[in-house]
Amino acid sequence: MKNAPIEMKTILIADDAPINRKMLGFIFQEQFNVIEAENGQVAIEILEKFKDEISIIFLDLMMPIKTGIDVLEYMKEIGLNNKVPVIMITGESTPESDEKAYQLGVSEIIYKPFDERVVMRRTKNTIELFENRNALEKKLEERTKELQKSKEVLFHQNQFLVNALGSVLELRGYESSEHLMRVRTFTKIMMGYIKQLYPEYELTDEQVMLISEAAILHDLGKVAVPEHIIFKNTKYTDEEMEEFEKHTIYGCKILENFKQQQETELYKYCYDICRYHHERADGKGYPFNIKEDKIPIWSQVVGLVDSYDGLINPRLHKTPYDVKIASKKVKDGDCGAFSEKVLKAFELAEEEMFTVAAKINYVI
Amino acid sequence: MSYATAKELYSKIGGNYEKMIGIFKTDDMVKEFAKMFLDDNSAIELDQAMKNEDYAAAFEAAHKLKGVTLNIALDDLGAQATEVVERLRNQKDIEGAKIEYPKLQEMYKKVIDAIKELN
Repeated sequence: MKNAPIEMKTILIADDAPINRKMLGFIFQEQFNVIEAENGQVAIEILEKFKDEISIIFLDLMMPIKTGIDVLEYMKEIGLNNKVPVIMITGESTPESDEKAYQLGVSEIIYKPFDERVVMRRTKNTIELFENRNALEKKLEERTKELQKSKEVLFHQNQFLVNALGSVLELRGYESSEHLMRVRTFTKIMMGYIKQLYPEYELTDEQVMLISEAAILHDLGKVAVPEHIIFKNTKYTDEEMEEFEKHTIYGCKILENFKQQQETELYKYCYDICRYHHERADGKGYPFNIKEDKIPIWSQVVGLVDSYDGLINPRLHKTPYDVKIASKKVKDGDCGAFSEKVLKAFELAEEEMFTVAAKINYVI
Repeated sequence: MSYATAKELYSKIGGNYEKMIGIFKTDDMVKEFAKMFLDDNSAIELDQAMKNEDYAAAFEAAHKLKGVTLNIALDDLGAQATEVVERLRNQKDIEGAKIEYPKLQEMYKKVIDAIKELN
């Protein structure tokens, strides 16, 4: 009695000569489940129906109605050519005809007259090769999905933390939530254009997201500045100004408490933005008087965005500026010196920023 | 003249019996496959194509016939089929093909008649 394996693999034999089909069928019938196709059309129909179940195809090229080439093209169309191996058994054995066959998508070529043991061995090897490759590809797909998911989880956790810190500022009365939201959105828009205009920064969409989240904490350091200075309405004394300017460095100190063993990207952005968002391109900013490209681009952007929002924010001005007038002031250098790069991005971004400003309206 | 075994048949028609028995294990199974050759259409298609002077079709039919004969180890017939195939390839040597073809027809007839005599 034959021991039939529980799951026999299926072979498709496509050849218009019955003898050829029967002969191959004979060789494989004990160990495999054999399906026959007498022309390319039938072969395609069988593939349509059973594509997931066929382990290997023996393909003759010259067949009526649809040829072996038609079958190979069909397989390519539906992405089957990398999943199911094709063996061509042929009486032709020139390098040219071989090369042509491989280019069409044939995996193995066996010459006639063939030795049945060689055919069996190469068939099994080829099936195994493709099965391993397919399994590996599937695993890779799954791992990529998992990775993407953990990235999303991490992002949301970070967002939560940043928003929590931002709420502290709002609760103390240092910033309004509208200001923080607008800074975040303006930063996102601006960084989008920076990414586009200056590929040398090699920014990814993910990084743009992180930077805009980090922008929320630009004035975190204010919680460490004495309240009477923060809420003073009249002009600062020199000492008071000096202390106020330290909010940049204080922000960094606070962030250092949240630093984990490894410095994450988000941490770096928060740190840079806190530290340098009041620097100016002409070196007349604070706290370090650094210039132009020495200032990290994300800090420059938040610097501009913060200034811009400052002009249109009724908290800081009894009569805030109109969005377009404010925009002109920024470009004219009336509220800070910004680099060419950042101003160029601003020009592209301003329309969108006007729209956002209209949406996230300040409550007077 | 009738043939009791495929072995006898194969020795008479210039075939490689050893190869066939290696694949098919029993003489009966070799017989079965030899008889299938009677139903093969490639020779008929070749004949048709040669009559119509459609040499591209003739090439394909001759190629098919060559393949089948090689598969069931009818080596002598296969060799003659090859002569025709190579001359018809890209219509290289139509005149030469026309000379080789009748020889093929003759050999083919002999093989078919012999197989019909198989028990």
